[in-house]
Amino acid sequence: MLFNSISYLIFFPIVMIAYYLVPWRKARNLLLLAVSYYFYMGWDPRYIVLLFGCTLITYINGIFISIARRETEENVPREKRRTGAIKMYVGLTLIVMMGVLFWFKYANFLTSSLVDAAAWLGLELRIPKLNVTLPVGISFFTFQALGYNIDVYRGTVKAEKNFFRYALFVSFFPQLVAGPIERSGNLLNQFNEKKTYDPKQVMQGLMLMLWGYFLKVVIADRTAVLVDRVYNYYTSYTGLIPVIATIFFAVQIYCDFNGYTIIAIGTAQAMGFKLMQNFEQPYLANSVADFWRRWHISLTGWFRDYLYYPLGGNRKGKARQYLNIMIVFLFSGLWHGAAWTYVLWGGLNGLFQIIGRMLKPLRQKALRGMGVDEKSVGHRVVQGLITFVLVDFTWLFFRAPDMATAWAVLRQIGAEWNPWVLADGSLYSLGLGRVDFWITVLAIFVLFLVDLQHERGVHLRELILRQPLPVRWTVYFAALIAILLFGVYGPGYDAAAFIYFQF
Amino acid sequence: MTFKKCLGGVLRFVFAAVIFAVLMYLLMCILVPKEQDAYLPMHNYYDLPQDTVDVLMIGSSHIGVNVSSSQLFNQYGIASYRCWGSIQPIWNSYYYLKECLSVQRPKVVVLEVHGCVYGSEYADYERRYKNLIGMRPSLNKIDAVMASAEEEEWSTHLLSLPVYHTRFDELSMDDFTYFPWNRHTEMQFYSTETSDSTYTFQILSPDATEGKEALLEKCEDYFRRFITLCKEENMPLLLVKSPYQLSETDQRKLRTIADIAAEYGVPFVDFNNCYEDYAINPATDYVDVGHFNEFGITKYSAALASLLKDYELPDRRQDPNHIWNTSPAVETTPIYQLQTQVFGDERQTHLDTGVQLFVKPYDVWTLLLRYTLDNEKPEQEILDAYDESPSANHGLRIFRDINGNLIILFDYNHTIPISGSTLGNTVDIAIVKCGNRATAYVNGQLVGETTLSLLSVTQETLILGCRRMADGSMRDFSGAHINQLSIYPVAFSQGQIAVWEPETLPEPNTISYIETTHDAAVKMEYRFEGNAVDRYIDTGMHIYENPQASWTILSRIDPVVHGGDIVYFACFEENPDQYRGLIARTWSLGKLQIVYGNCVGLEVDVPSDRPYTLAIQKDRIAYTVWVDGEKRLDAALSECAPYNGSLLIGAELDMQGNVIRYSGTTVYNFELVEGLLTEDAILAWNPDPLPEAPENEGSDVTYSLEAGFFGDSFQKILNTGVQLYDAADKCWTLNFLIERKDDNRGAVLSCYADEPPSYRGLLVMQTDRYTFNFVLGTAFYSLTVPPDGLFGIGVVKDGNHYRLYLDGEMVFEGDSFSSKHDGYLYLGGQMMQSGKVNNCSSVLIRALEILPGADGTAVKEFWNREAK
Repeated sequence: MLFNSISYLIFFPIVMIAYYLVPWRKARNLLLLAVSYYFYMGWDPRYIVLLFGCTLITYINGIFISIARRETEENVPREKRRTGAIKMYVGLTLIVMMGVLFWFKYANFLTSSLVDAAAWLGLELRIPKLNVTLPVGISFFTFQALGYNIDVYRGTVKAEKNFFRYALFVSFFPQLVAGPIERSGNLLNQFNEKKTYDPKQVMQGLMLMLWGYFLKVVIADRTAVLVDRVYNYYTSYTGLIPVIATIFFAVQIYCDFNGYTIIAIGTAQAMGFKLMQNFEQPYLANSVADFWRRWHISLTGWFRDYLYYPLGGNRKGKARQYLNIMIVFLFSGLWHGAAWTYVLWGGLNGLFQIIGRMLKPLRQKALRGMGVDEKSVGHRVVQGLITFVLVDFTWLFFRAPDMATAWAVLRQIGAEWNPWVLADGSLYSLGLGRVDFWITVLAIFVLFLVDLQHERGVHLRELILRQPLPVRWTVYFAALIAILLFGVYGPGYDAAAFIYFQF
Repeated sequence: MTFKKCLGGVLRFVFAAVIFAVLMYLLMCILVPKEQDAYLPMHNYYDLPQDTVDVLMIGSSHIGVNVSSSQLFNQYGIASYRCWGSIQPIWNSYYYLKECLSVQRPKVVVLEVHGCVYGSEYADYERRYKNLIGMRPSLNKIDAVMASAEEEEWSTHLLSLPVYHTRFDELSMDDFTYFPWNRHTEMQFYSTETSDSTYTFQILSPDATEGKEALLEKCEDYFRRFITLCKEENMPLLLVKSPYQLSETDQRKLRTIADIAAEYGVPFVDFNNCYEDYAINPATDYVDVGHFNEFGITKYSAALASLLKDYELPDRRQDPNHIWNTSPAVETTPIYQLQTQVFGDERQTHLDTGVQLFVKPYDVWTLLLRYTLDNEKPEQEILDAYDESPSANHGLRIFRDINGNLIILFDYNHTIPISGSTLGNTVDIAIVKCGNRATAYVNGQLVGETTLSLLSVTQETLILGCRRMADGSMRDFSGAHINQLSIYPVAFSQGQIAVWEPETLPEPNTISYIETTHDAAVKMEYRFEGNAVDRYIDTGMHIYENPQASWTILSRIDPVVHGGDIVYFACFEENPDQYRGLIARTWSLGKLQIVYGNCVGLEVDVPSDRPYTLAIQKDRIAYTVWVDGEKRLDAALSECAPYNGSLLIGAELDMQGNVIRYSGTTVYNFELVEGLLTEDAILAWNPDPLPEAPENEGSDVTYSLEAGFFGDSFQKILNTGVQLYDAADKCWTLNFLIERKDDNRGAVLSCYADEPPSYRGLLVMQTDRYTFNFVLGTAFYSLTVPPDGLFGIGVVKDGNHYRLYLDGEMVFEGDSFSSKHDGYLYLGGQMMQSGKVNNCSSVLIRALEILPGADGTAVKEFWNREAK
């Protein structure tokens, strides 16, 4: 069940009303668990077993780790401490979760890479392809469950004893299939609280959802038309056209993923839950490192806490820090997809950050020498633009279906210098007609203004809620009509799936 | 939270929801596509007042397009409504019926059973949505949606906005007239665009097949439901199948339909079995496999009317309050409108309107005439559109006969007396011709009806104020004042005729000559010698922009025509519905034809062995013609509507404004004077013949492609800057070397004018791996080329003679004439007239050179050199 489908628009209000009508907290949690499982079964009912299995294993391991941990506390003699057992349980979770992820997501990638490598060496290798479909959201709930066990192991959260509550934590439908990857410390406890109906919360949640829909169906799905046209027929486009398509892709993936996350956060908020922020105006970042502090924050945070720090972070010298960054981003790339393009994408992001760090003293010296004020608007704009160019360059590899296409698109960009395409109407022949193109550009401009306001700390939703009723309603109606009129939906379009679902 | 607060919140929410719903509804009224097919028939039905529809016709385009409701109403008084959709499946017909019956109860339902022979569970997407969006939200609509589409599409059709929300960039003014407060009841008079083009097929004999074939289960189910519903509602049902190019399967299925109809005791007329009974002719009456042209529509509508006689329907023409009697006049442009009144002088004044009323036997028109007659002279003709030749006697006359009776005459024997008109009173006469039925009204009252012979056709034009005899002479000049004449291409109802209240036209001018100075607005510098290909002169003078303008043309022309067309000069609207303007041309040596005003022809004898002067003077609507100083036409009247085209010498403009009919005529002198000259000045005009125009040799063509060219099959083309056709008889040699890359269709190179109808120039198209198609000038040649590797092509143009070479060997030779084209030679695609790049290919041109002059040896040298 996609957020931008009719079924979800029926499902969600029913769930929300039912949720508030049920007076008991425990019953509410059970209701949410049931609808979350129903929600997940909307894709492929078979994989509910997988979700349940992962939940059960990490739940039991959590209890075991918790018991074993208690035995390692100070009052237990050192020789009786069961540190080995704890590590075993954590290792077990790690193996099972990674095993599941590997089996469904990376097995075919590994075998095909082996076949390719063998072919390169002149050998013929025959490994049968696994016939498995990637379960929706697998990368998200495995990471969330794994994170929980590690947190229990570290003692930052207590093991959850109530299985149903834990199962709801893993499967909470708003964030089940595309994040944010929640921390047990944040979400699990919220299931213990009694949520009362708060119209302001509900309104804020609904507004967030509206904004999320705008991002998804008006901006992301519109830009997708142009991006798909150019990348699917890249041999026909040279020079600035693929560049523009790649810029559009940067917008598309941001609005697609952020749109989903915002709908998820809005859905949760309408029911009184607070999910973590996943994006903070990423394209206003002033360096690639800054970009990653703002982009997919829940995943970056996960890698930081559960991979970067355990690897030593920045505590073991510069060289080791650079290596750690590289490892984290290569993994991040691989997490996004089982293809070398994603690995290269991750690698480039890591590389840009390492170069950024290495050149930082030099850069600062040069700026001082030129008398440039690092806090000036001009400097920030230039930094922002450079960051966008670097990030957008990496998106090219993210979007291309394979390496050969990525190189071919790069060659197409270099093949011709054709700035006239900006003026001769070529842009209107890329799937979006003149009117559609400018509506898309206008929508992107609206997004830019909103992000700019958020960056300045203006809370737009609060601002709208403070307005008199006619103004508020005008805003709501305008937003709704804009979505209904300019959104990409209906026949001819399958409800466009969110890009991050298959990660 | 208190109950009060909670209630307040709920109320606010409900209020907001209502406002939003209203907004969305209005938005949907604007966005919904106003399709003539399926949407409007259903949508407009809701707007009809109660008890206005006697015959409800439901089904596919075989009833929607093949039947004329106007004809049924105007000729038979039957108020029918076609609630149809193209290829409408029977389940949609069923729900349309349910919905229609919930609005008002007709007296008979006619079902066109084409939707029962449907072969699939669901229609195609376009038909699915068209047959649903016209229905208002209702339980019927929900059922219709569930029957018409698969489950995943239900929400789309129920909400309907997803179907058309993207229409915001194609809205027109019309889209803003479909709000709930707007009423659309004009469907009755809407008829799909009919055509008199013809599609011919062989009738499948009724016994061509044997046995029956079961209908699709779903079709049969809904067919039975349809019949049962009519039975339950006590609604007489008539099943029909319009005749069409029947397949054997359909023939067997129609037998099953007949069986089911018999089972329920419902009459079913399959017209496929009775072509002859209704004189429906598959050789003349169709535009495609299932749809009639206007002849067929008239016949089929008449056939249905004869079947409907059994149902004792009221004649709604007699009900002045019926909606289709009181509808405002059909918004249509008249095919003729008199510009100024014509005052007959009983001696010579008359007006030839140029309108041919009886060219096609099934034409539909309404003629509205207002005149005043204040004398009692017998034998005077008010209106004449009649062929007097003894073998014909076809057409229409309105006249006072030898006994002083005022009469309307159709053909040779259908007379209708005009009673109740008194001397000096204004009389309104309306003649409605709807196919072969003609109806006459005097002062809004029906005075007679007649059936015209199918052979009643004539080319004669409509004349006001006199009678034209078989030999072309005029007599019976009338003293009537013709105050108004309008002719519409549709059949008016009596109600519409009764409310006709035209504007008063200006009174006619008195014709007189006014002397002006001989100061030519157009004067040629060089003589015009047409080359029949591309040469002409556009004078830039729009001499019919104001049809009341006066001007004088003075010319000296050569009787001999050197090939091509035959026009000396013309400013003529080539619109078959309303030819008008001026043409001077020659069909044969010694004969000059002048067409003037409202397409009145004049043919005069002229010298055949020497140039002669031709002067034409137009004094408002009076034309005078002199040939070699001798007057050949004296102030003949012909009035016409404005025309904005320009006066051309040596060619004409077509309806779209393209130059056509390039002529081989010679005009030695030409002057156009705005205003009138005295006859003396015209007779004294005799300048020397003008000299010949200097030759245009065209630009240099020398060119060599520096690096190869590789097209991208999308938008990449290369402009060589060479004009191969800037002079039509230019000589050049073009060589190029192709390396096969793929076999995508596209233009290899082009210097081609895509100007319909005068496509010309050079075009080389790769159509597949083995074929290059060439347009050389205007000739077409298809060349088989090697599927792989390198090959060389040479094109040599020597004036109008072309030679084509493949790998240095000549493969084609021939003449091809084309006119000049200023475009450049493009590689890899075509530059269209619109400025768009088109037909791009992914061809690899290794080398290309163009040399001036026609040189076959250069082709061989190029191949020998480049192939290595």
